[in-house]
Amino acid sequence: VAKTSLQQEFVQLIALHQKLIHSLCSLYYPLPEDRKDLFQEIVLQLWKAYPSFNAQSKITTWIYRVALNTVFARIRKEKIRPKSESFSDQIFQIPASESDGDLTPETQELYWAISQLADDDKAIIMLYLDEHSYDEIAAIVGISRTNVSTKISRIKTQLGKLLKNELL
Amino acid sequence: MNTDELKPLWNAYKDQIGKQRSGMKTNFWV
Repeated sequence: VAKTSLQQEFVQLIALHQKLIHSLCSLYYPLPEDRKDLFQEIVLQLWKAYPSFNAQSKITTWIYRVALNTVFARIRKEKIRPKSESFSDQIFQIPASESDGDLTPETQELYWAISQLADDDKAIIMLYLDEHSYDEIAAIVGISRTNVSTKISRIKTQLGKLLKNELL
Repeated sequence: MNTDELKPLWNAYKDQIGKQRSGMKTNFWV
């Protein structure tokens, strides 16, 4: 496949699945500048990995795998070398309200509830809500199937508590 | 809690976020 057509194919793929990547970025990095950086990094990593994408795999599973590896690599890097605190970090650690205007109250509540979860749990519940099997989740997150099952049950309870006054 | 209710809500969230951010340009060198 010529590079140009590979690029075109890739751009179409990203256009088709960008909402998944944007959703994931927003849940890990609420600040717009961090979120945009992460989106760019994920797209770059997807492009690098694209030639080795096995078309027999589910595309969303592959996107999640690459995207989550990118997120967790960034989180690990930040733990080793934290960003220096600045005035703006102190004051403006608030989800971007200017861009939340298009969310309905219900989806804002879901966003809020998932963003309260631990980083690993966010990944697990996103994969679960996007209809991935326990085996697929186990392979992506790197834990056993039994552990996935236990964690999903616990996360559902936690989300239930967080949302009980809002959705139920 | 019936978490099946969460799946359509999650899809709605992705649609709304995707719509909001679809104008964002992504530039990277390969």
